Amino acid sequence: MIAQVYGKRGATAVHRYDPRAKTLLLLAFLVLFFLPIRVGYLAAYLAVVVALSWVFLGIPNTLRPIRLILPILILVLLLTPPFYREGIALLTIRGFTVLSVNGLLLALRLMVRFSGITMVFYLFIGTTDPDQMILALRWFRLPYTMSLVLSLALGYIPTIRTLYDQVRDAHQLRLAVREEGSRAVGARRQGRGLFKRLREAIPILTSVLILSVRRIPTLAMALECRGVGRKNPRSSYHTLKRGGALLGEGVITAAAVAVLVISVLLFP
Amino acid sequence: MSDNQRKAGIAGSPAFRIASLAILTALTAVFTYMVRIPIARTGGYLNLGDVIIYFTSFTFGPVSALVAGGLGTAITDLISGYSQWAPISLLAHGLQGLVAGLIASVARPGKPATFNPFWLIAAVAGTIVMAGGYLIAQILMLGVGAALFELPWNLLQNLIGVVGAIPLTIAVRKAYPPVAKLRW
Repeated sequence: MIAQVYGKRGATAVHRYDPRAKTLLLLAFLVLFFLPIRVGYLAAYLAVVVALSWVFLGIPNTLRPIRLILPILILVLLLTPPFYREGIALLTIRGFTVLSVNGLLLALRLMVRFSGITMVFYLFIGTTDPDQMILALRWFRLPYTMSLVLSLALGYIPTIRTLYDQVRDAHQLRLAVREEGSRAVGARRQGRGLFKRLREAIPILTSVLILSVRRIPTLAMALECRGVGRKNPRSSYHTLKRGGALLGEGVITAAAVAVLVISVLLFP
Repeated sequence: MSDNQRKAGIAGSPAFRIASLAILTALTAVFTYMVRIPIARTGGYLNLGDVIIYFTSFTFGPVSALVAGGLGTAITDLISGYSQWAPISLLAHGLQGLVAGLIASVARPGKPATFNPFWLIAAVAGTIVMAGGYLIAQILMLGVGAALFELPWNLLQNLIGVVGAIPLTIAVRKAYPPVAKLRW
């Protein structure tokens, strides 16, 4: 499922870059966007991230997260200034300051911060293979059992989705047969309230939950047959980079973090 | 399976715990991302993720709800392109499930398939934790104005979760009584 977001498998240097190093860079950028530096400099860092996304993920993929967060950005621009009315007033209605310089600057800072966080996460997710991500989390001491839960859950999402579709179709079919036809039922549903719709969904949810929960003992037995739960160490057939390749990317990451730190110190 | 695990029943085995967490996490992700109820006139949607989180906390206990609630919603954020919210969802929904599960497990009813009044207290506490967590994160990321605008939606989302989870829990326990043995 995450593979829908993850594009160009292994296509660019950033896609092949070590996921541990990318995680450290992600954290560095996240901290950066929360630092109290000038809005203009924050916008410059955002421009760097957008440019990286443009180069490594392409224009359509770069525009996708921006389109998704656009309504939130508009909301921030409209709703932040009335809460911060200090500074030179730019717009006053009947003695009430609606827009001030400080309020506008804060709104811009929040917009740049949120856009930056969004783009950094999008770049990370879009260029990191989910399997590599789980290996990186294990390297950062995530317990083996938790990474197994994550892998199994990702594998089961399409199965449960299909199960839900089948159960819903079966319920709709029975309802259509019993009543006056699916089109008429659908038309009547348009006008129904939220809680009524929820009540109608309960039988479907009950069926899906029971069918899903009944799979747990079977999956548990399958896991036991594969030796899960024993004390002996687990082997892994997928490994992360080691030796020279890791050292090289570690040096590049350290240099990038150093550049970020120096730039923040020089342009506070 | 070791002797201790046999004594504890199937729910005591590590393989069972991994299997139950994986299935419940996948259920939470599917119900958050794919199963949605449209809101009339606004064109918006409410998801049923909180229904599954409260169901998990009432039926499977606090640890299952912590992991399934946190991981399931974080996976949804990653899939749907809102990956910036994934760490916040992991914490807010995970703690929501943990708190609701802890309170719900204080008093268990005599009959498993009946309403437990502690579920309401658990749901209120879960709502406070989840909505409060998002509010703090949104104040830091989006400012007070946008955070306060989002708050009623988070509360409505939780209300849907509670209203859906209570009949769902009773229905599942009535239709499939062995579910009570799967708690750990």
